[in-house]
Order: sequence, then C-alpha cells, then structure tokens
Amino acid sequence: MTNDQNALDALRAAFPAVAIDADAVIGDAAASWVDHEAFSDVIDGRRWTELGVADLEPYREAVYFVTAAGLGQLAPALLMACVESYPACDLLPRFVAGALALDAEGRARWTPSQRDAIARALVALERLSREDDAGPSAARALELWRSELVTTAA
Amino acid sequence: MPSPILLRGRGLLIALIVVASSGSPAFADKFRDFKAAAAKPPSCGLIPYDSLQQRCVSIGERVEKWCKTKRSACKGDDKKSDLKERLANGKQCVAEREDVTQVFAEAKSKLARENGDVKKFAATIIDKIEAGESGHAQVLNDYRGAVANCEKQLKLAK
Repeated sequence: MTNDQNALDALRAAFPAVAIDADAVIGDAAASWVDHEAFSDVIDGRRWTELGVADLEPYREAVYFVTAAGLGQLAPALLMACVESYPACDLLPRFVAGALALDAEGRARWTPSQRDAIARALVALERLSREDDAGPSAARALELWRSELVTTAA
Repeated sequence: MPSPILLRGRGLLIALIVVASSGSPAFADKFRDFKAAAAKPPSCGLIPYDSLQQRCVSIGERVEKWCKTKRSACKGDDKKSDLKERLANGKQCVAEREDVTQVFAEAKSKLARENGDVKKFAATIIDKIEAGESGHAQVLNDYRGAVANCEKQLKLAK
C-alpha cells in the first residue's frame, strides 16, 4: 500500500461521512463571491465522501469564504480530491494548502485522529507537488501541521 | 355623479399628495435598491449603483472565464506550449480579479459618503463587502503565485 493510499484511508477513518449543512458552511464572508450560491447547491446535503475534484475544483476559491466550521467539514473532501486526483487537478491543491496554512489556530476543532489524517494528507500532497504549482503552499502548510502527526509512518 | 374630468383631477391631486408625502419616486427607488442590496444579495448584487453593478457583472463573467474554466497551474513536466498558455490564462485572471477588486473599492467609497435614510443600509453593505476582503486578497495572492510559478517553470523549460 502506498503512502498516498495510507493518507486517504486515514481521512476516511477519521472523518464521519455525515451530510453537509451548507448554511453552516457558507458564512457572511461569502456575500461578495459570485458563485457562493452555486457552491452551496453543490455541497448541501451531500456527504464529504461524495464530493470529488469535479465538484470542488470549480469552487476552489470557497476555501477562503467558508466558515471555520465549514472548513472543518470540507477539509477531508478537499484533501482527498487533491491527493487522489493529482496531477489532474489545477489550482485546487494551491488553494487548499493555502487555506490550511492560514488555519493553524483553528486546528483545535478537529480531534487528534482528524488532525493526524490532515497532516498525513499534507505529507502526501507536499511529496506529489514538490516540483509543481502547489509545492511551496503545501510545504508551508505541512510545516504548521507536521507536529500533528501521531506517527511518522505517513 | 362627478364628471370624468373632475375624477381625473382628483386622481392627479391624490398622486401629488402621495409623492409629496413619501418623497420623490427616484428617492423611493434608491431606498429600495439600498434595502435590497443590504438584505441578502449575491456578489455584484451588493452594489446598489447601476453603472458600478453592471461593471461588476461584466468583469465577473470574465473572472468566471479566465479564473474558473481555464487551467493556470504549471507543473514541472508540462510542455512548453502548455506552460505559455497557462501563464497567459493566469495573467488574464489576475487582471480581471484586480478590476473587480477596484469596482468594490469604488462602491465602498461611494457607500461611505451616503447620508439620510439609506445610510444604515450603506453601512450594512460595507460590512458585507469588508467581510470578504481578506478572502479575496488571499485568492488574488494565490493567482499571482500561480503566475509566478508558471514564469519560473517556463524559464526552466528553456
């Protein structure tokens, strides 16, 4: 089993697949975004495991307008899409890594196993994108998240 | 029974009284525009000025085209022709996003100068615009980073 597959399995194990409440995800900061209502339609009522790169890439800017709780719900889907679909995705990895690098203070909302899963996914993303567009963003995010790794196996 | 001419005269008088008591029709339109914009509008709907809102919508369509539907991420093993195309896409996306940022800045400046009954709605709209500003700045920063990466990859490809 590859490290990437380990990272994806860790995300699936750590984050329960519950229906997403778009109202809790889309906050006041979204009002000035052209596509926040379309994004809301895409995610509302779906489980994070049902969201793929085709759903998320067109709305990558959403990582900067969702609420903190919203990022908490979407992070596993976003990371899964980035790692699973690399290198087919476009700027999604840059945006996801960028948002997670800004969110260091919000890490407490996740459980230790969820933080470990996010850190493992960032390890995989940093390795995949090292020579590419998302490389520097992934490295910055990983720098903040590496301490969350429960083991060094990832 | 009153004559039709007298009835028309009364109608005109009533209309004049209504307008005089509630302000001009233009004012009523402005009040409605500001109230609607402050309620729960999407994106360019936040701007209660026709010409600025139209500019916003028009640029928004170009943002959609250049930032959402065209690829801008350059990867180490991309062909040189792909790198050039993605660099051009990214540059156009950045230019369109800078334009839309300027439109919202102009709208904020006009809103801040509003007075009277629409002032409270103007303040609500300014709050909503400002709530998204740091996110928009991050997005623009990411697109600029993508352009810089394409320029770097293109140099390496020579």
